[in-house]
Amino acid sequence: MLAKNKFALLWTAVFCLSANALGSDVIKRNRPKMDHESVYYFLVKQFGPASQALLKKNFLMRPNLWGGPCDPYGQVFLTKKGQGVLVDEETECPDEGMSSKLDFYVERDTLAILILDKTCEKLGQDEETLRYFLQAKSISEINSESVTQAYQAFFPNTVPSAAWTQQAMGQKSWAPIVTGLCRTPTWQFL
Amino acid sequence: MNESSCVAFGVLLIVSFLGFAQTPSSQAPATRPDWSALFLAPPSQLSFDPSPQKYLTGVELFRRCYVMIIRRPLPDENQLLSRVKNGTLTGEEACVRLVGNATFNAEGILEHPDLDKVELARLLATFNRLHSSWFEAYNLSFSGENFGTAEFSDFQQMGYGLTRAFFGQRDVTSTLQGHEIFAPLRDPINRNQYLLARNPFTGNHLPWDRIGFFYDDGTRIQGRIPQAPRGTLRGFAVEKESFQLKKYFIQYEKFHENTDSNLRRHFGGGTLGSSTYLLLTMGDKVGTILDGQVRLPRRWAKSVFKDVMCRNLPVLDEADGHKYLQPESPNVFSKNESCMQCHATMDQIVGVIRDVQGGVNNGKGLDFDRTKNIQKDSKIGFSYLRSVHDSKKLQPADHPYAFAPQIGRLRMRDFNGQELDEPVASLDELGQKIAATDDFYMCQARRYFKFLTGIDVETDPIVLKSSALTQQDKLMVGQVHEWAMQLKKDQKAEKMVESMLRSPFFRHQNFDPIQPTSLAQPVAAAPAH
Amino acid sequence: MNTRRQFLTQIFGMAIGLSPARALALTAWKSALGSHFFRRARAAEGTLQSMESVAEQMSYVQLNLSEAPSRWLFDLILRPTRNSPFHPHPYVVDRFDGKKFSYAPDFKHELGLPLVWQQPFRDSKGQTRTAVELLPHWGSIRGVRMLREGHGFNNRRIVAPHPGGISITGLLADRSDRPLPSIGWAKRSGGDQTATLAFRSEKGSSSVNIPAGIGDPFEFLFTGVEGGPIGDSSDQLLQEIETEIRQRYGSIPDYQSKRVKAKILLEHSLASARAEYQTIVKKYLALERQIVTGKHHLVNSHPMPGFNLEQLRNPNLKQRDLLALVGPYYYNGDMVLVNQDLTKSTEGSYFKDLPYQFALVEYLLNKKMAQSMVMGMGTLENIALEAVNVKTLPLGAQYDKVKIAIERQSNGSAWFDAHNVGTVPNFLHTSIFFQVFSACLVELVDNLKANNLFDSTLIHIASEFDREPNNNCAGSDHGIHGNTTSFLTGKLKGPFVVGDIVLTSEGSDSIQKAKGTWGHGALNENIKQGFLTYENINSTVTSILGLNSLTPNKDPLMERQSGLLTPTLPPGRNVG
Repeated sequence: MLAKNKFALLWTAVFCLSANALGSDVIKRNRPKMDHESVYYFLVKQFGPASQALLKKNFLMRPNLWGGPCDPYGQVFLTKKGQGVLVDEETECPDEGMSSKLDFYVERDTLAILILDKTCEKLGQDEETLRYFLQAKSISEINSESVTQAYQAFFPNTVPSAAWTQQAMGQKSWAPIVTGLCRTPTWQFL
Repeated sequence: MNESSCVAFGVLLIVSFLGFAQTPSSQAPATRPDWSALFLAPPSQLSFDPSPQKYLTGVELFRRCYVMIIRRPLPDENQLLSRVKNGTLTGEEACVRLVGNATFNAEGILEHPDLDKVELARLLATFNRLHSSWFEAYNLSFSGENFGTAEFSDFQQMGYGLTRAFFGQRDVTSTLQGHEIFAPLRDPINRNQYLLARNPFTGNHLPWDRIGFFYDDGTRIQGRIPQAPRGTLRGFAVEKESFQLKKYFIQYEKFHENTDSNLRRHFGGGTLGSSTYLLLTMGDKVGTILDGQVRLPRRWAKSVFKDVMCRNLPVLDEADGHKYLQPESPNVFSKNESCMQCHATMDQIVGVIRDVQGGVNNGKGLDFDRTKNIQKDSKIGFSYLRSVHDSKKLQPADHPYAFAPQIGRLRMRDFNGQELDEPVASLDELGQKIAATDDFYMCQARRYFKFLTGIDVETDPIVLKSSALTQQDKLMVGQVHEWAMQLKKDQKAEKMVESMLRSPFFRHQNFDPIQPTSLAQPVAAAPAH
Repeated sequence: MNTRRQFLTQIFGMAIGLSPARALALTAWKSALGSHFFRRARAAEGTLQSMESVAEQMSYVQLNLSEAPSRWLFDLILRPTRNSPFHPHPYVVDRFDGKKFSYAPDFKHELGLPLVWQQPFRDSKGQTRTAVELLPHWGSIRGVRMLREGHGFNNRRIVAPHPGGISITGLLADRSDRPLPSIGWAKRSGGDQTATLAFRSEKGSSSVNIPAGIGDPFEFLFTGVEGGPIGDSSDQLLQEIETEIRQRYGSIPDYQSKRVKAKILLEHSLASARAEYQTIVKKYLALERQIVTGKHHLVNSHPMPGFNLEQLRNPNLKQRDLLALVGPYYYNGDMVLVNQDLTKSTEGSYFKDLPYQFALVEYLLNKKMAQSMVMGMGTLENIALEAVNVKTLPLGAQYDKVKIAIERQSNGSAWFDAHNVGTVPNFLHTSIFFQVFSACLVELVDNLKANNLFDSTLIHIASEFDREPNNNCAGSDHGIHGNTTSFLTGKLKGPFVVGDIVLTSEGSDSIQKAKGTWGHGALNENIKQGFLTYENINSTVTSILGLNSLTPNKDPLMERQSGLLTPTLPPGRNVG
């Protein structure tokens, strides 16, 4: 009887295997990435002081999106206009200490991708930040060498593919090139 | 419909469940178990990807460790980078120097020959934050039940000992010993003027000059009580374990008392007995006197296992719970096997801090006038700890448990499945016994490895032995175990981290150098760099 | 039979044979082989439930009543049946008849429902509704012990039973594929934010916490992402790099699907999304205005005078008797309310956050943008009070000799944490809250049903503890020995009330030792540890959401039977 029910055995086996596939789950991986401070300083380095306010708002002040614990006792407040104001804004550690226990590496969720996209768009389209980016590398015209330099600002020691180089060289302005580079998540990978 | 098929399915199901459930790692241990054999495989069997292009170049490797640890872009003028570029250092060596060449000077300030002041602060900050994040509890406002405690007790305290040992080339065991309190040395010198706590209505931080501390007769305590330092972390100094405050207030159920108290009291055992750690984890209402039954600092017990050994309760096996049943006990949990699996551990280990009692100054919490939505009063409370033996009012006969000798028991099955059930008469002794287990080192190895590679390898043996492990899993556990045993032997966490930095795991592009298909084949060494 | 028919028969047969056989196997394990294997089996079952639930993608909405209001006005059912024994307490009231306050629940719907449930309101379509309509999918658990004190500490434990440890919201976020897996919005900064800040995940997922007091949460949520889709050709360049990324790094887990979602989100331009949200806000605001300012039966049927100062003339009145006299009108510590008609004191009041919070929940659920939302609900603001300081009150013969200063404040806010709020203001403010709250709940559930989301949404009404009344009626203390939790979801077969409570906490270890029934949890031989704790609630929530329990030693209190959630405990009793 059982021998006749080949499908029974197959389905039961499949079911049991899946049911018992508890998985070892003893090894978890979360690829090391730049944390909220690293991302902030990296982009400030690329886009200059004019980018600081925007980057502070979207990265430095949102450690739970980008990862990395902060230090609540690093904050020093002095009085300004009747309120406590941080001496150094870059030391802000929000959420009453909870952010001091964040993991260093956080999966980038959809909101993080969105924020990165729109921040990069603003940085790429803003004249001042774009100019800073280009001037720091002494590049102005779009050509093979300059797009490679732009690429290597985000991906040091790597050479872009011919396909990408060609696409970049076909752009009319630097904005989409710089925005596109900025939007890729992997420059954050360690 | 073929009913016999249904019956057959059911029978097959039961049989197959029973069959598949019996993976080797879940079999009940033998009389004298060695669990580690169930989930460890020698890392020498690991085979790594031989392709050199899958590993980072020297410059790339140094950039990785620099950004990971300093958390800033690597400047072109960095000296170590220059040496890597000109070939006088490999990337690995540069990473090892980045971490290994930092030392504390005589004043306790961290120094490094190859880093500037900003980089140095970042190096210290990264490892300090890493160490602090290993201790889950942080909220002194909750456990202290007031806004002031976090201003005097630094809730990052538990990480300081580890950081100091790390860069100071001290034994990791030293973090579980002694009465030293490490005060962080921070910039700037300017005194911070606001609390961490905020006005719940406005969201603004509360100002120091509008709050005060009072004796219970209403007179104000003169002078400033030392705050936890604020500013950029530069190093550590051993704090004088004393801030005597006269006539400080403690309230408990039946009466209150003014007592002379040391606000910086340390109960021994390094991290285990620091007042901050105890305050965070005592778990009961401030002022509670422990009774050995319902009122016990079980949260502290759970935290010790989790924070220091990466073990979640229960740390005893099923059968052990049965052994410790107490049918005559008035407590419901004492008669239940599954409850006792945890309680047999928790309720025993806490005996070593049975005399600890939380106190709070009489400053009540900030009052807010709801009719006006403004802060009405300026008294603030903060909590501290004392021993019940400091009391002049408490009678030992009324609190036999709290006044009994401070003896507890460390009761657990360690990483190897060996049952420990040993008396401990002090927190220092508890620290010694914890430091004698493999678990303590497995936990450290696991955490550093996770920080450096993003790979979190489970080290809780109870989880491991009830999981279906692949051979690769066992090899990874074995690798972490190897590092842990190295640490146990030489006691220097920095050395272990250096080993990890040199390992193929760190050097690989994707932190994933293992070749799963060649596990049975002779070892292929990862390309040297 | 042919092969195909055999195959189909066997599938059917397996479906029939599977459940009892599996249950039989698990039972055999538990009894014969010890709970070690049973735990694995439960984990297996949990995994299977997870597998089912992943397909459903349960969403979790916690309506967090932080500061702990008096729940007997709404979902703490003190008299489940007509025969439930009950000891009245003068502070525990659900109605006012113009002369006196009382607790007199209505039994028309099988349960003894407080008056709030019956109060009619007009919904967004103009129809008259009551909260009673929630009952078929509502269940409540009473008498849950929190085991220790502390607003913040207990509020956190509702989502993260081990403080600092993994939270239920974190577990849910880890397996969520929604753009904003976890959202928290508390009514104010500081300790109240605890449940929202207790988020912690295993796999590095993040939570977005909307700061307290923010005007437009929508703007905050999407700060940094306004401006619609990327307006340049960087997409193409990005795609090109992504090909290189795959070659270099292999695939990045979930990245592609998240990028697709991000793109979809951006394509709904933020302006139109905000407009849609504002439409929903208007609906909830209208409800709130209708109830707070309108002639609602619960409190506006009769004038509700404050304390009559003339009572102080009594020449026999002693100082020690004063508290008993003024206690029910106590407010904010040492003030006594003397308004001529307290119902008028709330005519200009409003709920700052509640309508926006409900609107945000509805919007995010409909757009499948969030998986869990923890909303810390706020109290009534802008109350016009007239009060006197109890310390300055002249008694007896002194009454005519001393001018009593009446303090008038027009911007006070109500207290949930009613330590010093007497019977009268507590009843007034809290009943208004629950009227608005329950009306918004009806509206939200309507919307979820209309969009086929109610079955896959778990609404959890929670607070850090309940209230234990003072016997002098001048306030209430933290009722940590009796917490109430309520659940609403389409798959719940309601109504039910489980959890035993004691008739009086006099003689117990309660703080106030209230002489009356308020919800203090009773011992129960059906429960493993002898009484219900917050860990049972945690296990219940994770079980419904298809997650592994964070407190596996404590049993969940609901189970699925024939696809419906039913309680595992018998109906709640009042004992003692």
